[in-house]
Amino acid sequence: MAGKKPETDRGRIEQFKLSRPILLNGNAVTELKIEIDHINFGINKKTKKLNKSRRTHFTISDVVRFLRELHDEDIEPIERDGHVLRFAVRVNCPVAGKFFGKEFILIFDTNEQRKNKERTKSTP
Amino acid sequence: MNYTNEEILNRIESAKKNKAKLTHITDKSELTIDDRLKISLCRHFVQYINEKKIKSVELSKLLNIPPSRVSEIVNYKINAHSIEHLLGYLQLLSKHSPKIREYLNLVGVAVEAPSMSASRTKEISKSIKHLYAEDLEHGRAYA
Repeated sequence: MAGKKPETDRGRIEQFKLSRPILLNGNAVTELKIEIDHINFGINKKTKKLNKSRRTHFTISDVVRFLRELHDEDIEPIERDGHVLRFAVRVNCPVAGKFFGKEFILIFDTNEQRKNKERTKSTP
Repeated sequence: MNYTNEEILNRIESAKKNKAKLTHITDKSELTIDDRLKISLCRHFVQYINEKKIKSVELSKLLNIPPSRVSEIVNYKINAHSIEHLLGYLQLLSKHSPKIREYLNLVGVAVEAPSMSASRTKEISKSIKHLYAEDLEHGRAYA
């Protein structure tokens, strides 16, 4: 009997090119991959699928504003896996009218091999 | 970077569990000069870790200081440390890094600078900032 296929569906994933790069650990990030549905719906711990109801209404540009908070920062990755660096940081929401000032945990990766790429999700 | 949902959930749980230890990105515009100086000093430890691709635990062994202290430093928990402490740790690190040694020399030169006219001091500050910006434009300032 074949094993169960691992669940990887996290809804819409947007690719976004930045007009102004974000400088993180001295490297310029110019392109982002954002799991926007994951951010707004969250994953259910039991079913391991996207929740059906929204928890936030962040847009791609809102997520970019979160990431702009990291500009010119030097952060230690929580994990290294070859060229992939995994980060988790606490960021206060910079988006007015949407949880402004509330602390979120931003979880994202950078890939040193594929320079200028970043994948992200945030969790309140 | 194709993570399964389970892997992602594990990452989220781990981040939530270690929330207090994570770096907190804050607005630096309202920080005191002391805090800004502490952040700048902490930054050198993070840059060293990133450059050498080591973990903070390895850095703690290198400097012979407790891992918890290094974790606080690299996550910018500045209230836990005085400038004096951070400079002391940086001096330990300078034994392993010529860049940090030179940075400390630069700090020494800046500290020993005589009191000058406001315009002259402004001019020097501007030149230094200009040099930093130039360095960043060339990619990795710490490479």
